[in-house]
Amino acid sequence: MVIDPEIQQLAARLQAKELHAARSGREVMQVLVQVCSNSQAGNPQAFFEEFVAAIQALLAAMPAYAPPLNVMHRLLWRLEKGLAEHASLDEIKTSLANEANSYQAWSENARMLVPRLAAKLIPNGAILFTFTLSETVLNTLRYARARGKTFHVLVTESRPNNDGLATAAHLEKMGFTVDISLDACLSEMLSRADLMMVGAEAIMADGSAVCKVGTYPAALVARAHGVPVYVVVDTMKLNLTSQTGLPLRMDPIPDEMVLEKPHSEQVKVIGHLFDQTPPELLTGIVTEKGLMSPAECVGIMRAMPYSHKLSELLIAWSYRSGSSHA
Amino acid sequence: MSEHPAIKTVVERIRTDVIGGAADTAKEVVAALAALARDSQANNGSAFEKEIEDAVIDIMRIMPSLAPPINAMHRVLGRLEEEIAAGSPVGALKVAVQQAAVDFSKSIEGSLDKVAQYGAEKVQHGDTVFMYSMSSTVWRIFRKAKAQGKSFSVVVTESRPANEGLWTVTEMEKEGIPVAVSIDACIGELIPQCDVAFMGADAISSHGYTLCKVGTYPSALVAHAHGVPFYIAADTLKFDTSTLLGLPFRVDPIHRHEVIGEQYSERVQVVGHLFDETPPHLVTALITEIGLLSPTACFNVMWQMKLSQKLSALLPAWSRNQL
Repeated sequence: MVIDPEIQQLAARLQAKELHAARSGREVMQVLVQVCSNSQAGNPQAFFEEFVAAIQALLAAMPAYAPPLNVMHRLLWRLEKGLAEHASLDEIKTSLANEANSYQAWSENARMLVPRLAAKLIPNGAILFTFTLSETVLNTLRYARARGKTFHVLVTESRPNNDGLATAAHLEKMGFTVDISLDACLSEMLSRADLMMVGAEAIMADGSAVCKVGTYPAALVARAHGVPVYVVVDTMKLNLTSQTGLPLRMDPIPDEMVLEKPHSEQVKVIGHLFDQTPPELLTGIVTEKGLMSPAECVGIMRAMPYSHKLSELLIAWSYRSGSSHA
Repeated sequence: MSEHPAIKTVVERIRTDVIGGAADTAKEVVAALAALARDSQANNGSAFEKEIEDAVIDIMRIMPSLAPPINAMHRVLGRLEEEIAAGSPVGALKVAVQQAAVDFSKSIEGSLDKVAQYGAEKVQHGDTVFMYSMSSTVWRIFRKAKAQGKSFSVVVTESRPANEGLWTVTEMEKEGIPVAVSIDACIGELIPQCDVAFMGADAISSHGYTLCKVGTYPSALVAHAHGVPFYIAADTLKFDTSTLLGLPFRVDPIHRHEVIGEQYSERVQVVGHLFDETPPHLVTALITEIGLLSPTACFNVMWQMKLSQKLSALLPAWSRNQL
């Protein structure tokens, strides 16, 4: 089967990790709609197969981000529904285009709403701890400031790629004062903080949050010091796949990020780039639907479109190298 | 100011931080005081006492927050104070200081061997063992466990900013012990996969808080949450008697250049210190030369230590950097 060149291009960018989670959701939606309009398939079944092949090509390159997976669920669910209802090819294509449009509108709305809701949780004059880099957290801080709130931000490096330094640079540009320290320095930072606010890569069916590695120990320290922990995400970050109990794929930390020179066989580099914070350490999850307990996530998941074909494909995807049982 | 070359040398060596560990610093300090006593021309007790005191003040002025050399000075000065109280002549005072130095150096090696022996009992065949940063005391435990014929592997993280965890990698590689390394942020994933955790300590307070390389406290929280036994290995020289007086640990800050480059403005400040404090309820036991202790037993041990009144009087000013 011929794979659309745009799919190949996006797959390459996903592989190179050029896109963060929310952005990759939007781009996967765009490119799949493109596949739909470029398709030369003569009947619904052929179109379905073409569509599945495109998804497989993307999956082969994709990190464990929830939004693009949920986008795939949404489109494939629509397509499966069309097939089951014996809809014509044109009707199916139109329904997919409509789905993409409504996703676009939903996404823009969610991007606006989450920061507004989250900003309400920041008391005026607060000291806020955040970990690594999150577009949603940055937007929340920007919004809170525009509403006249003053606050001070604490952040750590977030090795290995030092995303925390990027956060400090963004905040500096926005005119905030920022304290930065080592990832190991969590206890001193969090004992000063009034609240902790982080983004997430994915929220699992049990309400746990998959975030940049280091978030879990930070949440433990926050708990020990009575500091509330909020995760700010839109509901596209709810990982539907987790309902089936599949392990979460996480990327391992590359050797060269820890060891400069090669060592003997006795030495190995271990660990992954993300960790999982259990729901009992999360004070709340802020989504575009509002502030909720992590335990509520499964209710929202069950109401989201879910494709059985994609679930089949994800079994092989989950068990690919780099998977870690969560 | 002491003019004795041995005192000048040890002050310079501590100031420029060229001595390997805290125990070695203690040995060098005590040896310098013994050299001063040996060469002393003082012909009466109070002149000799003044000579030793001046040297101790010189040393304390540049002394970082290391409990062992301070405890070593407690032992030497404590012995001197006893002799003075007993009315001993100046010759006997000089001998007492030299003898205290000899006794001290002998006791150190014996202590660390015992810590290694007791600690090795907590490593089981087939274990995966977590340690943070580097600690020559914990390394001794691993060597001892290996000598007992146990096979086990070690997990360690980098320990930014100086990456002492990578020294542990090199040391374990040399010892033929399999070792896995990761970044400090990864403790939440790695510690739950380990059977037991060992840390070295820089100082232990009278109420059972351990001062260790920054990152130890979050590691202890993770270990506690996952039921992984968390041991702190340290001989009692690490018990910081200044904490009996209510003084805080003195801890060095993390430097700006260790975290960020020059492109940042003053709006971005680097904060934090190189050590953190782990509370006693997270520590399974302290492994010391007198046996495994609950961290809350520290007070009792300190209470029985010989403390010098002269040195105790210097500690408040020292802890505020005003000596």
